[in-house]
Amino acid sequence: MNPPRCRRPSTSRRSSTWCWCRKGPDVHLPNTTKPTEQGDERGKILVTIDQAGGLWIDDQPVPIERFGEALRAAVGTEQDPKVVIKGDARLTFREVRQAMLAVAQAGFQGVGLIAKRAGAEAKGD
Amino acid sequence: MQLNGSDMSLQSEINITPLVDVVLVLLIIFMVVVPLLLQGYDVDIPKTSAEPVPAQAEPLQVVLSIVPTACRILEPPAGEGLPADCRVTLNEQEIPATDLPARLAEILDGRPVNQRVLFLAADDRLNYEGVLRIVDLAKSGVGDLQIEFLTTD
Repeated sequence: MNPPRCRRPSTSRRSSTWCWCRKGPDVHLPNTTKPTEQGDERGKILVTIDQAGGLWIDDQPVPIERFGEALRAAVGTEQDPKVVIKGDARLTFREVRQAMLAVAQAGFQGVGLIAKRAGAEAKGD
Repeated sequence: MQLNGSDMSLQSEINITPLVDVVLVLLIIFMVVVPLLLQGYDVDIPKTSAEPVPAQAEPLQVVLSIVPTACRILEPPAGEGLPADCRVTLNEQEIPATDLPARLAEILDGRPVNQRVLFLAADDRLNYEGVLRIVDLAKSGVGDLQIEFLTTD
């Protein structure tokens, strides 16, 4: 079952309003055998790279030149935020590496790369 | 059977209606929460620095290189694994990708957890899913393996 997608108000991206809807565009997640649990989407900054290489922060498309600024705005005053990257399986590593670099330049050193367990029903598709 | 002179009879069947209610509520909660759960891999991106790195007496760093000439993963790999002839370079030694977990375990298992670090240099042309499968393979060999992507920019 896929939950409906919702659009957060752009002015209060990390608002305390509880939103159970999935964030960002649908992508075809990479299949791997032993991905580890990363918790749920809520409370994380979700960076999506769609099949065309376009960047999204949560449910907003962001041009690469504004990415760092938009990421810092998305974090706001949140303590110890975690950034996770949901990249399409058909991307080249270059496109994902550039997104990781942009995340690092925005001041984050670690990211989570989202995958789905092979054989499991797609969770991000 | 009569109780206290009335016609009330004892029910011998279990009333499953409350049980079904609880199960349905749990099922709905499960269906809502599960699609939001994420799975994946934590990786680090080293910050680039102009400072020279001090020379080390012994090679502590473990570097894994993946190039498309040795491992053809330019498209999403078919099936659940990697191409059978996929080879990777671990500390300048080319090995079959299938040997990677065992080789990493040999090198890193004796180290403290915070020193179990694998530096990964992947060619830009490689397919992202293929690279993640190699990360998956590496993590299967060593518990608590930290992955650091090497960047050239």
